[in-house]
Amino acid sequence: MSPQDNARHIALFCKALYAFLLFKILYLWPLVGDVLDYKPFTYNSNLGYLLFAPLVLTKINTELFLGGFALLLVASVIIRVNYISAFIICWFSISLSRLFLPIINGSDLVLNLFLIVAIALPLYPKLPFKNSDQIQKVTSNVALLFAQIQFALIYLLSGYDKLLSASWRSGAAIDSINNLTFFHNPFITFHLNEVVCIVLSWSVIVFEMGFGFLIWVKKFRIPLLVMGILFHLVIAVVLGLVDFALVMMICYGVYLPFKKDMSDTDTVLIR
Amino acid sequence: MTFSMKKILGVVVILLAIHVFTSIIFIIFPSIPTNTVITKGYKRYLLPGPFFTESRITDSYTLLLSWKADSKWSPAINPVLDNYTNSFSKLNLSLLVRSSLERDMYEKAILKIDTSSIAPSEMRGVQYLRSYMMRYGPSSADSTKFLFVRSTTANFETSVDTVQTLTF
Repeated sequence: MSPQDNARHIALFCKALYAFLLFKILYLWPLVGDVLDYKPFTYNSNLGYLLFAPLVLTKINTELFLGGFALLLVASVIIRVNYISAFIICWFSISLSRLFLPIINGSDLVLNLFLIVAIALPLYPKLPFKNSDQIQKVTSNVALLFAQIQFALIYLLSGYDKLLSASWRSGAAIDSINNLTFFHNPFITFHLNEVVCIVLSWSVIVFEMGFGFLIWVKKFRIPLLVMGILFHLVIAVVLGLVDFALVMMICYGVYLPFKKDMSDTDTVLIR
Repeated sequence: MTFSMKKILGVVVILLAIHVFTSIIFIIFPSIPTNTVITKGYKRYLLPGPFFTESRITDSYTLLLSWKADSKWSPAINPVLDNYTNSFSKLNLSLLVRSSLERDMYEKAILKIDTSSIAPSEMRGVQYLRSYMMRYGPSSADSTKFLFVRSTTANFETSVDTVQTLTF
């Protein structure tokens, strides 16, 4: 695989994350006043000052922070993916999550993790030292491999937790989701009997556990990604977890670029 | 590829292997306490999840609001559920998040309130209920009633019970 292909793929993945973040800002914007009334943001430590420094803007005007961040994201989607914008976006995103702390969910945690990894993904600007080209490519590939490992581990963690849970093993968890208010789309009602609940529950466990291992085997990769997209589309429509489903589907992009077998570490690290 | 680059890559591969091993330990033994920077960093930032844990899908709370005007009690309304429902019918994610925010607010506020004697520490919860009434009820109400209801599902059975009834 040529380095150019990889650069294009990295750009697409990073820009998809930025576009998702922009979408998130737009739907969170109307709530910022209520969130700050409920839990106002204050700096509690020196580490907090450093980590959430962009939130200084909210002391002047909250709209300034959100608007500035939105403009930065629009610009970053247009311009070439680079270290500087990747770092600033990651920093602002962590700050955004802190600002909206009472309503953050799994999608924010996954998004921030991958934005951190995305700092090391770009190949631009070229650094001015000997062998920098080679080092930048290797760093980028290591970051991509790390992203793939993390994503597989997230599924493994989720699947293993469900495997340990009696209510997931018995299918009762599916029944709970189907019957409790605020857990599913009120316009889609299913009457699921116990057998269907067990089948669905074990399908989720097997998929999540299987993803962590089988994604590294070339012949299973595309079928798993297709199943994953269907799985997350169902989550988006039936459970209403649109943001979580979107970020997970975007992150599938980390598995797409390599034509050679990803389980061969040398292929990833040494080109 | 230079010899030094190969050495660096060797170190990177070893570090990644250690990371995978450590992550698997955290996955297999979820009860490892998160009291150090490394454990906290791993469990909170590097390994987000698990999602849809058993504890999160057992209970669901709703807050019903009714008010008295002209000596008559109004039918109970559930604005947070309305926001939730409208978020799907209008494809409006802001409403979905608003519903999530308000649920978090009323659950934390009301579960703290002890109706036998409202202590100063519980006043925040009471203040929240007043603001809830101002947002969703009429300003001309003589009295306001809140009904806090918990739905629980476990082992394919669903039960509903009233946790609190508060009248102001």
